[in-house]
Amino acid sequence: MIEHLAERVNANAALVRRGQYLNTTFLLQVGSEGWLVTIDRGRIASVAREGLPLVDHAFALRASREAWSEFWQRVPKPGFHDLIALTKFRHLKVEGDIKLFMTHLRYFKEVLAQLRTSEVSA
Amino acid sequence: MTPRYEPIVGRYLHLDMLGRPHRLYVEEAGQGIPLLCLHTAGSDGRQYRGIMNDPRVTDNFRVIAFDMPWHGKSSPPAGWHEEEYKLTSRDYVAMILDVMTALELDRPVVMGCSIGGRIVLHLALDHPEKFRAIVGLQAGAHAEPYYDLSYLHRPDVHGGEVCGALISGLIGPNSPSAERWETQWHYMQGGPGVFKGDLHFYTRDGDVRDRVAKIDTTRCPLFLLSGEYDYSCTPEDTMAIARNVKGADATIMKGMGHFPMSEDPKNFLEYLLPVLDRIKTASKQRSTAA
Repeated sequence: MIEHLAERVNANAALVRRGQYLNTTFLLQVGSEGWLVTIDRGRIASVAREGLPLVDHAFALRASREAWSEFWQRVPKPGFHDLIALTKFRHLKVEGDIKLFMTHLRYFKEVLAQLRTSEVSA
Repeated sequence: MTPRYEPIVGRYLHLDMLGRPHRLYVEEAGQGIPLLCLHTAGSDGRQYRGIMNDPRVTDNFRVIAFDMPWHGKSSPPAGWHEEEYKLTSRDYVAMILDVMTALELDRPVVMGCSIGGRIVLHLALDHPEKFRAIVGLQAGAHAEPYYDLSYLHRPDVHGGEVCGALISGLIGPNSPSAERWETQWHYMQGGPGVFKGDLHFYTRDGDVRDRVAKIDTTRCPLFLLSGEYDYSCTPEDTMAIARNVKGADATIMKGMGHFPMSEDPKNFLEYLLPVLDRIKTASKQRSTAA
């Protein structure tokens, strides 16, 4: 499922344009599994399983499989419907370069929402 | 589409407020019982456009919304460029009472959302005799910050973008797209540091947890309407007031978020109209008895 991120984001021209000044790699942690998502000027250049114990990333988004699975429902339950809601209720930890995450908050919210069963803008 | 005007009329009001001259933008529509509407932090009176455009409201209520100083089309007071804007409970209450006096409103209904929902609790405590009824939308006695508020106002992060993005999730997931994005646009348009300055009141100065139980609803009825998806003022925050204030009438609005009147006016009106009906009926009984 996570592997679909690139095709969904890259097919969304408006979303790619919103990320046009962004080049970074972040870690998406779903339970015990991690994916490194590399962004090149708003496009998702790669989504790779975290292989090495020591890898570079600007920030990490870490939540349980259950929390992400609820977030990715078409209409999630209250508290699971938004990245900031997830952090407020301590389901999601954002670690690392928080400033980068906040600067591009709309972009990151919309990128993660692309994995919803049927995407609704968040 | 045939071009048309809405029934809303906007004017600029000059008045002395908080010891200084101010130029405030005030909108109104309808006639009857005055209904003074208070917008959320970092936004403006446009949030009430749906209420002001609905004849079911405006046939019986004179709906008034003013943009607070620094917000919307109201100016910040002269000298603002050397100040840090920080809203306090004292100033917020004074501002509302000054606007009521300037507009000669006779015991209006006051309805406020978020910071507006908080300040109406202060009004219920300290000035119940001045209001016919009080409606708190997304009202809680206190709110803890859940992110570093300095991100709202720093030169290396775009204020409009981050304010819009931060509040996006506070909107209910099924809100109509046009209303959702209109709601966010108002936040994107806010002046630098204004949302943050309002949150000083919301997260610090405006805390009424130690007093809220003293609200006497026999002096002024209190209605609370809160959205299920609001994680800033949660349904639990509103229900805590309802548990502590005898006679408070609280309803949790299914599927809705933090900006009910703006994010989904059509759905919100289904909850608001019965409240306004009760206020209208009580108002009639009172004038008959008098």
